[in-house]
Amino acid sequence: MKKLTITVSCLMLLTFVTAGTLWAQKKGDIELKAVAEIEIEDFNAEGKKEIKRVPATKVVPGEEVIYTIHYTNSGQKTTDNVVITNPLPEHMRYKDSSAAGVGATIVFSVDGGKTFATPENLKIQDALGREFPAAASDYTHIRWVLLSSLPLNAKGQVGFRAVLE
Amino acid sequence: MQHILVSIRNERKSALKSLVFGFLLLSTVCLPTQVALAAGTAAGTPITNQATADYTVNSTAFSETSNVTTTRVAEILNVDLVWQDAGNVTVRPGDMDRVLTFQVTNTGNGTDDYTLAGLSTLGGDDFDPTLAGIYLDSNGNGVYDAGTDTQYILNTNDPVLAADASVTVFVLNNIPGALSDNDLGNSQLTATSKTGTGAPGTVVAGAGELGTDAVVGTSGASDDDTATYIVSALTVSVVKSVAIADPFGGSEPVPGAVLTYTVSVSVVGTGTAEGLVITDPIPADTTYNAGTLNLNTGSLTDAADADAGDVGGTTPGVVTIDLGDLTNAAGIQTITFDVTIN
Repeated sequence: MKKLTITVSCLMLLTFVTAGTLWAQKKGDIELKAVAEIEIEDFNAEGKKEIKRVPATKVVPGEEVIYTIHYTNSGQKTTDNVVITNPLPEHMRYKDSSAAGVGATIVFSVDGGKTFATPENLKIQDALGREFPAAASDYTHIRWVLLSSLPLNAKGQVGFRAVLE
Repeated sequence: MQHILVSIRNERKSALKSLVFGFLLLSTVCLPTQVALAAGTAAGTPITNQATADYTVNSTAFSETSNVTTTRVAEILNVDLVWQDAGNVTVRPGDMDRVLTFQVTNTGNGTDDYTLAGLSTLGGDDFDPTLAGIYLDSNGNGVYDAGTDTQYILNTNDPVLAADASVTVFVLNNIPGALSDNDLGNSQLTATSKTGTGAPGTVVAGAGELGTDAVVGTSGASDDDTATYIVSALTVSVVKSVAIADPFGGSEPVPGAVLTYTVSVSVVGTGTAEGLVITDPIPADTTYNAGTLNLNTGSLTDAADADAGDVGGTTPGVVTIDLGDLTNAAGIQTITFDVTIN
């Protein structure tokens, strides 16, 4: 177990958590690694234009960020009923149909993570209590429900895209 | 950040728990509220993402969180400049310090400062106004107040605008003389971001708010607008002619001959000649023939009364006709009166 020191300064704390190499928590059976990237156009060695991904350190409003969560069963036992949940970051708007994850059912929440459903079953209410189908911009959380258990050392990734408002 | 609360379910005593709770405490105290602006999320705002895995091992529930990714919102540099006057500003030849009103708005997502430049020697118009000065609306009332609104001086008082904020700017020009009615003169104002300009997408590293990058937006971080003056060169034309009728049926100006004077008055150009009064002294050595004063097709009494004219009433020995507010559309006003040579 690593001993961690909590400092009072917000800024220092953020810097610590995004260091990347140090895990912020005790290693459990499942390890999650979250990555945020953007796509940029670049020229490859032959001088041809290609799209490549770089870390999303600075982004302007309107730009699309690609979020990927890598998961691994690095524990001692098979893990069952694995559910990965990602709250939509504030100021980010989920890009419709961008959620992906092999071997998982993907559901969304529009009520702050209390309930989850597939897109066609999501409803929101207006001020008068009338129900409307929810749109991608209403989503608050994304959840991947893995269809099978994860044996030892099994790994995979899930992801989605969102646009900065 | 508060979303982390939702997913923590286990009760394990660990550095994780104390770290996360400590983090939560700090996050509720320290995170600034970020505002959604017209141009998007405020520059410098941190966008954080963290995922949670919930799972069971032998029917015991566990939960793990991922690292937090942080993305900072970069600053977009954008500006919008709009001429505010309702239409072309009417001026007279020779006018001084005629005001044009513009509004400059920071349409980016972070505070920025701007240089201003005025240009009145543009092509495509009938005359060049002479730039007299640029003034900032110091008291923010949208109206140019001479002596109160400060003069803009480059690199001295360049306006600083928060995202979505505006400033009103006045451009003053002098109008040349010798211009024709309806001549147009243009005057342009340009606002340019001091942080950076260029092709949209140009990055000025580290120049944005809170040390983030600044990126030139779709406006190129510069905008201009052109205002127009229109000249109203109104003149009043007064033409006098005389017809002579002598007692013998001829037209010799002998004593006893009747002189019929015709004074034709009209307005040339656009606008209104307000309170137009024509005066014409009865010539020396002649006597006014009573009752002969006419305006257009109607006769006017000699006495100063409610009708438009009098002879000797307003001023002794003078024909006075009050034509009121006259425009070009009213056409020629014809005044006639007779005198006899003494």
